[in-house]
Amino acid sequence: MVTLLPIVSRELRVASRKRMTYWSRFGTAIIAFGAFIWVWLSMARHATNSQRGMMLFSVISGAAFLFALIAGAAITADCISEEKRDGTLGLLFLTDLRGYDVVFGKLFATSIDSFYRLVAVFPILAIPVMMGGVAPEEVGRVVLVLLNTLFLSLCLGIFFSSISRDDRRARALTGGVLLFLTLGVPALCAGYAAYYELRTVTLDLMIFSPGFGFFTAFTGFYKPNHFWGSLLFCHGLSWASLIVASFILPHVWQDKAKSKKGEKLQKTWDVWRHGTSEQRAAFRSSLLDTNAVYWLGARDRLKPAVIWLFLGLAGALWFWLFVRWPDDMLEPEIYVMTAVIINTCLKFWVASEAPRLFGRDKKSGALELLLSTPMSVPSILRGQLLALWRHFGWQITVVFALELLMMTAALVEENFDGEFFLLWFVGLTMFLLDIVALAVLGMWHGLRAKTVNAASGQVVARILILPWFLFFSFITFFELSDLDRSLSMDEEEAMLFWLAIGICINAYFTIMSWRNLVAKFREIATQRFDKSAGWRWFGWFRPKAQ
Amino acid sequence: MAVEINPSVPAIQTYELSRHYGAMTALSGLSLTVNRGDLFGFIGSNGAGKTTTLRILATFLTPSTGRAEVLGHDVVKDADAVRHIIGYMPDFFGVYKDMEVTEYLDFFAACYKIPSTQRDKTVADVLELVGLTEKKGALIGALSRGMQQRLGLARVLIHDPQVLLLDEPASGLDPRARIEMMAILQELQRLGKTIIISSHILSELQTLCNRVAIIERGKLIYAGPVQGVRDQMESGQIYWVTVQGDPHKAIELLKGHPEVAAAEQADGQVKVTLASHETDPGFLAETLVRGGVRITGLWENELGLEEVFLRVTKGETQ
Repeated sequence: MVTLLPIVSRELRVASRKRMTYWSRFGTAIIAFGAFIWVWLSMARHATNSQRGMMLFSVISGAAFLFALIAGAAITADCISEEKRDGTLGLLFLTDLRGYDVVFGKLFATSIDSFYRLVAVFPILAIPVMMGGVAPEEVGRVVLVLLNTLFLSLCLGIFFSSISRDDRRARALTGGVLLFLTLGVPALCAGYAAYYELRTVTLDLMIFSPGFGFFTAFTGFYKPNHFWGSLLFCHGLSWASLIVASFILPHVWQDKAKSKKGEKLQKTWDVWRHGTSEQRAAFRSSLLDTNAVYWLGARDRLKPAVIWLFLGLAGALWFWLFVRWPDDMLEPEIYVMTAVIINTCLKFWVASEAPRLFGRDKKSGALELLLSTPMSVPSILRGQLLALWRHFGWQITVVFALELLMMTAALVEENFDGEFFLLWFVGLTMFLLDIVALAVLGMWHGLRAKTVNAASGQVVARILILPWFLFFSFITFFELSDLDRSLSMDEEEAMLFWLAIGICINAYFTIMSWRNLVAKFREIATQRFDKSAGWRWFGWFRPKAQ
Repeated sequence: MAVEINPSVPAIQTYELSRHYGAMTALSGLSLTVNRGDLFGFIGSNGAGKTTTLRILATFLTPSTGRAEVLGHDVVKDADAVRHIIGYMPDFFGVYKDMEVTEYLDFFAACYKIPSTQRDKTVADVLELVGLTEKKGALIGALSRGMQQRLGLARVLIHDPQVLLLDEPASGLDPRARIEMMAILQELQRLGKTIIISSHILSELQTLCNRVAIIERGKLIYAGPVQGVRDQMESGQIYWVTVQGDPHKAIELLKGHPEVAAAEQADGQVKVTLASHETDPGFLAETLVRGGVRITGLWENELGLEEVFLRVTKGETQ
């Protein structure tokens, strides 16, 4: 009997035998329920049942929507491109498999887990219906949008993976398109209305945004045309991505001889990246004498240039907005928002770059060759830190200096308000500390994790997400336990408390990672990969080799 | 860093070397001596423990028990010194495909702390030695497998090590590339390097190596000259005789001789087993000629390394 979509049926059988399939679903339900209890308790004092129900519904569905959006870039965006890099995609096409077999097989193989995780949240979303404030049909619409968004995100990931070879390119394209659709389309519509001084924003054009679809699923904003229009567009785009990927894939797996034009372009690109032979030799000579690994990590001269380009574009956008709305752009709040956006982007950039050298070289075996030389581990680590400094150092210094200027301007505007100063002080301090922690922890996780992207995710979770989680947990705990209000924190205390949490977490992970890097670098680097590294519950605070 | 070397110690010496991976024993009590200037073949089935031994010698793995020394330096206690005096080539390329050949070697030369004033010359010298001078500006990703393997060898030689540990250096190479690789290794031996080479291509090791070790399931079965293992295999000397006409007459003549243990027909020839290694085989021709048999050929049987390997091992893998 011929099986329709043989890879799909195989992947479903494999997933059904995996314990993780069930545990991840259970774990997600527990997390969602924990978040539910947390929000419910934190609002216990000052909200009615229906208000709490609405808030719970909004928070949990918002988190689920974010998860559905991120899933594509995180899960499917490298699934086909990785096979291209490893040269294994061709083996599939040497069999009778068709493009759609591979595309759907990959979709199922990589997305079952995320689908189950999302579905596990749905029962929690239904609880607010019993609390009042949320209508059953509202839950139905939100569930529909969440499933549709997950499908869109995964399908776009598959599509961009099928046209890419480089993992970062595939992820950046997937994330970029999703970001554009979700936030960019509404922002363009709003910008268009503001630019032409229209009284209302053209909502009909926003149906191209899954974010708008999610927004209109809520009863207060629900309009059938907008909701179903957005849903239909996203669903259509998802299928279109899969169909196009199915057609493309059988034609892109083979290594093709480059045309003369292609070769010329490749050479030009190489010269851009590494310089001419003379430039390469001069650059190599100066850096190798300092530290061999320094040159190894810093030889791609486009990397720092791309960061400068990003900062330049951000500056140009800010300046354009300033020319258009001069008064608004000089508001202290705009300074804060600008700093938060730029700092967050740079932090994510460092988190994605720091694990790259060790992770990539460990996978290729090149790290082992390096370790067969007399280069000491501290020397290797120093070289990588120097390379990271070369990539990010001046950019971060310039951003920091600009933010100091913005802080001064904002303080003048706010008459040197102490609370405002504290906000800037905490933000800038944590910016620098986070960068250091991300760099060091990134190197350690690059060495341990199975892939560079997994390492980046683990680093972001520990340095950028964990402090917020702890902060809100403590705040909720204080709120609930401090019945007579004797321990209540004002905003300044809360900021200092957040700073303290951030410093403690960063110090812990930085010191532990550095200690482990120095002591266990050779041991870990010569293993294939550490199976214990990953999204573990019990090993979170124990970044040790096993 | 100049490493002190005692001229009286062998190139490599292991003492009861063992390595366990969980419940699996990869290496069990391996005691081995490799003399200076040896081109030493390391033979074994997949999973026999060859790579584990080489990785211990290259300081990547620490032995579970026992110890190993390279030119008198302990691979655990004195790992830094060992890294200066060995060149290790693993069974994978581990190259940076977007680097130029010269960049790659320049980088490793810097890792070995070769001063920048000497690096260009060193790189040019090793490229010439492995025959890659013409490819010095090429991207590594654009090189053929054979060229990449030569580049790996050039990397190993960049700091002029005294001991080379080569894990399957000829695997996956075409016949010409293999022959060229073997020629380079012979040249290196001539230059005084001690080379340990693990390989599955036994016919080449047979002509290339002066000494071999055979291991199976982590245990040493034989270590010594190639001829020695052949001698161990053969209880007596075997000769082959071809004659004109009926070979049975020759067999009858030879069977009656006290120095002949056995004579039989095989593949249209006469296979003669002498009773002792000490016996002079000259009597064979004399006996046959006197008996009126016309001899068309007479030669000594020589066991190939592949045959020896098959005989001494049981084909067990782990």
